[in-house]
Amino acid sequence: MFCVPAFGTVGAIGGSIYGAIYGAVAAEPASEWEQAESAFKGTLSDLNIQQRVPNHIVEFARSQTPYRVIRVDNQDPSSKDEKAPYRALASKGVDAVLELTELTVSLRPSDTVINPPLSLVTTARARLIRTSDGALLDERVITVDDLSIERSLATWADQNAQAFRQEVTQAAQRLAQQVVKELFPVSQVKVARSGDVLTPSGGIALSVMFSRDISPETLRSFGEEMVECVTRDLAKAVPEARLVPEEEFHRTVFGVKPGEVFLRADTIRTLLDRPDIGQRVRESGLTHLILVGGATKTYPVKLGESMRSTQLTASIFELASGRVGHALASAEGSQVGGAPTESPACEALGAEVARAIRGKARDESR
Amino acid sequence: MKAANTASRPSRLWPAPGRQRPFRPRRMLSVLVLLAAAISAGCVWSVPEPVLVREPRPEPVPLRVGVYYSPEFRSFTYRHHLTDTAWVLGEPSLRLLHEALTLLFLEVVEVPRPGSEPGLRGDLAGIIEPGIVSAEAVYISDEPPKAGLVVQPVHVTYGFTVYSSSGEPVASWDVTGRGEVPIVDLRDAIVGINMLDMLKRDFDAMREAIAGINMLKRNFEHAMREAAWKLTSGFREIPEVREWLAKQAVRKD
Repeated sequence: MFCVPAFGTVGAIGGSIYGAIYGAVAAEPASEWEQAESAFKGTLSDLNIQQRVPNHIVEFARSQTPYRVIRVDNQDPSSKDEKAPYRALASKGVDAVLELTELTVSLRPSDTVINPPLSLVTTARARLIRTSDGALLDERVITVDDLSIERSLATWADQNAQAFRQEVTQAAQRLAQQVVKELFPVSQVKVARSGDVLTPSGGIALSVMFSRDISPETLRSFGEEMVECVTRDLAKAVPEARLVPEEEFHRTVFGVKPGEVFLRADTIRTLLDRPDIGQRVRESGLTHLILVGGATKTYPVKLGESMRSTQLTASIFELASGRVGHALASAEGSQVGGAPTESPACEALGAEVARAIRGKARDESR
Repeated sequence: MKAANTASRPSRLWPAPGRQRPFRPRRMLSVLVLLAAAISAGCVWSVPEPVLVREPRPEPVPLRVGVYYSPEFRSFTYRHHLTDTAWVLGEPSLRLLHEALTLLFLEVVEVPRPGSEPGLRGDLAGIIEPGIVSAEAVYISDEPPKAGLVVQPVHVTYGFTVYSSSGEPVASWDVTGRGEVPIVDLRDAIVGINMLDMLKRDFDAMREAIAGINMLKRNFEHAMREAAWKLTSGFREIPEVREWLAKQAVRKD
């Protein structure tokens, strides 16, 4: 869960109408600038932009990301714990706080001429802070502008700054959208299944293993996470299933230790075809072996931008028949945005394997 | 010399929620001192411990063979300059390949010389001489899919020569195994994780990332295991070996 505190935006607007300075140099009468600036400040006050932007962030983050985001008003970080000013929120289930500061709205000249046309530029500094220890997870200045909309100072200020009001309203939304896009990146997750998984009537007993032989480039720690994802979902979805540790499975079925079997689809099928192993399988009551593997790769999509893609596979071997089904999960997201891909793919894989096993288990029980 | 640290612990740049460890200055200091000591000593020795793939087991060759391990093979060491580590590959390779040949043949007898010699057992169908053709840990990969990863892929290539019982070479071939697990994934750091914070919070992980010795060791073990698996699973597929086996009246069932 993330929360967006309100304090960050309070008072960040003052003195931010930069266009006034440029305009004054460019020979527009000072009185005209004073009047315009007054109108602009009044508009910003009316729009209550320091509340509006965080509200939009919460709204967009809730609708566009899987994160739970709450608004925390008047959250003062100046606690005694300087290293972790939001530690108190950690106990309430909030993982991180998004601070929004230095919110500015400016009219900037788009040309170096007398009385230049002005464009609206909105910026804010966003900091993502972990509540448990105060670690700064991310910090960036986010800017939104629409340089295609250029107006003279008079036009911006005309009719009690109506054009300014409209543009600021939209800019607040665009800024919030950009904050969500950059600080709450999401990845696209897909799952698929092939083959069929049958479950014998005598109950389910299985083992889940990460195979380095399938995924030679994958960190062991990520392999262990894959095993965790699948076993966790299996334990929830098929509580009656017996989950057998890797070492016990190796000893019982293959008669060797982990590492002494080349764990690949073709070699597993070869082994399951062997009479001595078939005998061991029958005696053990074990029904399935699930081999997980996969990797994360990055690839460029255009200059300065690359994508991160995680593709995971679970091969579900039915030990008695040697048949195999596959569950696939992939997640893809922007590398620059830092969209997580490994955890979503891992969770999706676990859910898909659980569906495959549970579905058949229910069929069998009917 | 003692082997380098072989403790197995996942190297995480970004500790998962609930797994992070508190910053411990004293521990960090001790690690710094150890690192400094290792650097000043000039070299760390590390000995991989590869595991032989026993299943699916190869179809046994019903022959008794001799095996000759040369002094060069026994003492083979690869020096990895980035981590200033000497990888002792000869002895563990000897153990691994001896187990592999024992799995493959009816009986394997160690002999003092590669060719024929007086006093050689008359029931030996031939003599096999293994060697390490090359072993290397490449530094940083510049392949696009691996950009951002400190990969340091490892390869180990074993060469084998089979001599007939009369001492004539009858077959010679290589097998190569690879270990390509990244030493550390820097992509997460690139996308915004605060490196200084990480340094403070998980110094051990960073030490592992910098030195990468544990992961390199696993990569060597994986490469040796894979190469030995290629020996046992592909032995009968070498054309010259098939010819030799045919002359020994051994046929593939």
